[in-house]
Amino acid sequence: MKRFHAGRWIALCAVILLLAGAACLWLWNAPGGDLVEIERNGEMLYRFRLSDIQDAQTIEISRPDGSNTIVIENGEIRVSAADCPDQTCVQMGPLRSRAMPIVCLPHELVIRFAEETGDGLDALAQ
Amino acid sequence: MDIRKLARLALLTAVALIIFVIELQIPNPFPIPGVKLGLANIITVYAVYRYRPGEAAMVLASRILLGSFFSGRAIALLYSAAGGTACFLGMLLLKRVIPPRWLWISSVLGAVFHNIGQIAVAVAVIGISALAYLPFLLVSGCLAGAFTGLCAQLVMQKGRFWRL
Repeated sequence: MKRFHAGRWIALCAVILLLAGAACLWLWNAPGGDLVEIERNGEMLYRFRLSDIQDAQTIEISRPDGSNTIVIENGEIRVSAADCPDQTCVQMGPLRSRAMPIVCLPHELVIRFAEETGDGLDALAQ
Repeated sequence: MDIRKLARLALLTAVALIIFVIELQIPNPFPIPGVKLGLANIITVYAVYRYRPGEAAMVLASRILLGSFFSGRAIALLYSAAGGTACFLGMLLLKRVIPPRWLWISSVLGAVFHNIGQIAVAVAVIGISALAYLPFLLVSGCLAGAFTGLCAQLVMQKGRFWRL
């Protein structure tokens, strides 16, 4: 067996850890946005501007494979309840970064800030 | 395969399942999908180094399958199967270059493979935006991987005593 250079391998691990850590900081602190998209099973359900919603609103997304309750208030959007065992999407709190969507893996639900394109925004707004 | 070895592999699988079920009871402080300690991989890492590839694969596959029955999270099966396969194949290669004395390094990189496998499935299921979670998984994976690797090293030493 060739000589094993532990130092190099440890350095490789350290580099991966540092790069990933830096990426985390960047993702976590990336700016938010205004235009929000809600997707379920790859199908776009809602697309609206947070600033257009004045009063608190609740969106119920119920499907045979599970349901989520989404709350929009004070210019923030979050999942307030889910009937999945892990509750990760609820614990994630409000959507804050453009780079990091809220996802509910068991229900394939994605809530994210969309790129501003300026085309027919309100077409799907409800 | 002789009965003694079969019994050892079954025992390892049972231990891995017990660790897995206990870990399910520990609340996860990090609200990121896919982030967990993965303590059951102490057994995976140990089995990869201690047994033949086919034997370690049986232990891992049984644990993943039975674990998903026990936890009742069917969707998690997809992710842990993809992560487990990626980690297993990666570690078979690492085993050739990294000696058991440095098993924890192998375990850290195995965790990295695991995370890449998980995220690949997430990208296929929910789209490219799932990629944003990879750095979070990598940070937690490296730390948890080092810990599970060190535990596996301990099992290697004590395992000789217990004749596992």
